[in-house]
This record gives sequence, structure tokens and C-alpha cells, in this order.
Amino acid sequence: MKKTSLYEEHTKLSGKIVDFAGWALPVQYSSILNEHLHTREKAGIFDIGHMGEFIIEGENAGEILNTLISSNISSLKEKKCRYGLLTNEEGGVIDDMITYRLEENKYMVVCNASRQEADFNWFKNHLPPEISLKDISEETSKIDLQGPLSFDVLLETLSIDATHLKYFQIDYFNFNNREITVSRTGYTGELGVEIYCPNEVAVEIWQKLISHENVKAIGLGARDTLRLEVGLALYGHELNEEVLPNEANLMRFVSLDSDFTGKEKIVQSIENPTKALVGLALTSKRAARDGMLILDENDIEVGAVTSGSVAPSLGIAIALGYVTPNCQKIGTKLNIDNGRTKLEATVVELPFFKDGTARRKLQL
Amino acid sequence: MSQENLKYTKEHEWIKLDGEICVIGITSHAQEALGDITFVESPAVGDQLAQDDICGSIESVKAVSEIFCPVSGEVTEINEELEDSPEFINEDPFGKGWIFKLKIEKASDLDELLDLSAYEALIENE
Repeated sequence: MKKTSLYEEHTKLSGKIVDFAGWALPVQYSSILNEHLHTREKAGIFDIGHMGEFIIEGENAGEILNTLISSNISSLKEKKCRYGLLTNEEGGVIDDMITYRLEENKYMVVCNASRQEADFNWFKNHLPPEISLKDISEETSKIDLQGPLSFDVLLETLSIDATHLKYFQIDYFNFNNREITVSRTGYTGELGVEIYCPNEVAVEIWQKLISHENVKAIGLGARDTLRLEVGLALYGHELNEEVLPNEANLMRFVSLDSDFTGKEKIVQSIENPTKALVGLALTSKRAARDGMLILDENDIEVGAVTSGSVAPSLGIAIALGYVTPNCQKIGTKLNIDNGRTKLEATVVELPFFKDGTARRKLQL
Repeated sequence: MSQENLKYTKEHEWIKLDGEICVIGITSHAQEALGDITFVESPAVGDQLAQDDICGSIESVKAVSEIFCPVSGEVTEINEELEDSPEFINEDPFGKGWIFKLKIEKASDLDELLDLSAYEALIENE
């Protein structure tokens, strides 16, 4: 397994190490439930060094990225970023990613570790020769700081005042004579930032952050329950090459004004959809799990669960899953077959957890 | 509770014999491997169970584990507190985290179970 530059820090904190997309990463340190609640209430730090970062640069790079990524990249202002999907000829999702406009003609794409190679090859094969593509993942570390106290923690531990950042905006800061990038984004629904830094300073940044009394290290387990509660998709669960963005409820990240790969298939699918991603609220803490079948009230199979867990902030189990379009209406009663019994579920609005602080105003 | 006087299964249940009533739970090793326990499905009082029957399940945030009945008999009591406080299994697996009680049918079932040193050897080798 590959190790991030923070591996030793996880073992020092007794992190329970698992294989995640070929990376040795902590699934939890002490308790997924406590780590989850701590992030919602205070601040947590996550080692996200496994994710991939590419620099894509050249004349009209934005317009060219518009032909590959579903969202409008060229309309981004400098130091802003946007979520989008890399799609294949069939409109299927190769990966989901955040694209940053660093400079006029310089972009950074941040992608899933499990898809890094596929994404790189896709870009390599589809970008014209005048656009350069560079994988900077090896030398880049990423630490997410998430939770309502994140910006206080940044100031108090790293002397970084980032309160001018709007949601999905970035800025550069100096840390030990190195440039680090702070992005007001995240995967938890809470106020927070993602910090991109050279590997050499990652340990020191981590140690300074964790020294704060309100900061805890958070593992992948709580990262998953936090993102699930706010209804965010996870590649390999809600997204794969057979899923179209409209089916995954991601049309707000699709710009039909630009001609990106697979757009026509998506337009066709919007006219005639075959499945829809829905949020399901269960009646107890008994969880539905990825792959379990979803049945309608007459026990007819209508879909399958893609993610499921107890929701620590809500006190019930929740799930995401695909169902036939006739079952996607809010309030529809469904059952989930867990192999032993049927779990009652109701289609609910997303996100499940609505009190996240991610968009909180920091400056008037 | 002294763990010395308990019997164990390979599936990480513990059994304490008190007259003809057995108390059954899962071991500290098992709860640690599961992580935060969020839901317990217990058998029902009156259920007639055979040795090795799957008689319930324990869910944590990340995993589901079945409960195997260590000995044959009739369920006489379940720990109703686990419905609201499944975390008792994490906090005190050999005490307030007990799962159910069963009236044992034949004491010889116990012979097939592990003693503490055999169980410790088992988890050592996992």
C-alpha cells in the first residue's frame, strides 16, 4: 500500500489503517461516531493526500476543458473552483472532480485516488498537444480542515486569516517559506477548507493543527458518514461509468451550453430516464448497505442501495440508492431487503442533514 | 466479571453458565473490531435455538456481524437496554453489554466451546 506523507502521524494517533484505493489510510482513530460529531460541532482534520492533482495549462485551456468536463470551466474567475464531471462518449461518469482556475490559462483538477490513472489517461488522450498536463499528486499533500471552528483554528495555529474566502474560492499563503493553497471547499457540509501543500511541510501543518484543543484527527469512516448526511456522491458508489449525471441528480453541475463529451446522451437520458438517485430515510438505526435491493410496496424490485449508514447527527439510518423514475417522488414508501428482513424506507429530500455551516458568512 | 470462567466461540461470543441459564455476549476483541455499535438485533424471548444458529446481528457504522448461538436452548431474556444504548457493548462487553440469556438444553454443548487460553490463542493468530 502507498503511504501519504502523514502516515506516521496516523500511527502515532493509533489510527486503524485500512487499504483505501491502494493507500494506507486511517478508517478511524478512536470512534467514527465521536469523530463525526466532533467535526459537526468543532473542527476535524483529514489526511486526503491520496487524492490526485493535475495541472492543466495552455492557451484557451478553459475552453478546452469545457469540452471534457460537464460544468462551465472557462467562466470561472481566477482563484475560484467548481465541481464537475468527466464524462465518456456515453455520458457516463469517468470521475467527479473539482477544477480550480489558478491563473488565466492555468487550472488544477483534483480527482479521486481510485480514478487518478483513468483520468490522467483520458486527459492525455483528449487534450490537444499545446495544452500541458502535469500530475503533481506525488509531491502534493492535502489536509482538510472541516467544522464550524475551522477558520479560528487556521488563524490560531497557522496564523492564516482566510476569512475573506467565499465558498469555492482559494488563496495562497506562506508557510515556512512555502506556498500553500487554501480552498474554502470540503466534503462534510461544514464550514472549512482544504489545504494543498508541498509534502515537506505537511507534517508540520498537521501537527500545528492537531495541537489545537478543538481539533481532532478524523478518519475515512467519519468522512463517509459526514458526506452521506449531506447527500454528496462518492465515486464507486453513487457514480461510475454507467451512471449519467442527470441520473445522479447532478444536473446543476452540467452546462448544456458547452459541447462536452457525451452531452447528447445525457440530453437523451433527460428525456427518457431509466433511474434516479434518491435519498432514503429509514425508521431505525439499522442501516441499509451498498448493494441491498430496494423494493416497492408490492415487493417488486425497483432499485438498489449505493451507500448506507446510521446518520450520527440524525439518529436514524439513511441511504442513497437508484430507483426507477416512478419511485423517486418525495414521500414514496419503499422497502430495503437486507437479506434477513425488510427495512422500511421513505424517499426524502436531500441533503438529509440541513444544518451544515459550509456556506456561513464570515465577513460582512 | 472475570473472563477466566467464561467459555468462548470461534465467532467471538462469550458464554457464562449460571445454573442452567447461560448469559451470552460478544467479546471485547469483537466489539473493538466492529467499532461503534449502532444497532443490535437480538433473538426473541421464547425462541428455540440450536447450537450455531444465526440468532441475531450486530451492526456498527462500518460493518454487520451475525450472532451465532453458542449452545442449544430456549431464550429466556434479552437485554432490552441495548435497543436505546447499543454502545453498552463497546463500553462493557462482558457486563452491561450482555445480549441475551438462554436456558441450556444439554450441558455437553459447552464442551465444544473454547476456554480463555484457547480463545486468546485464537485471536492471537487472527
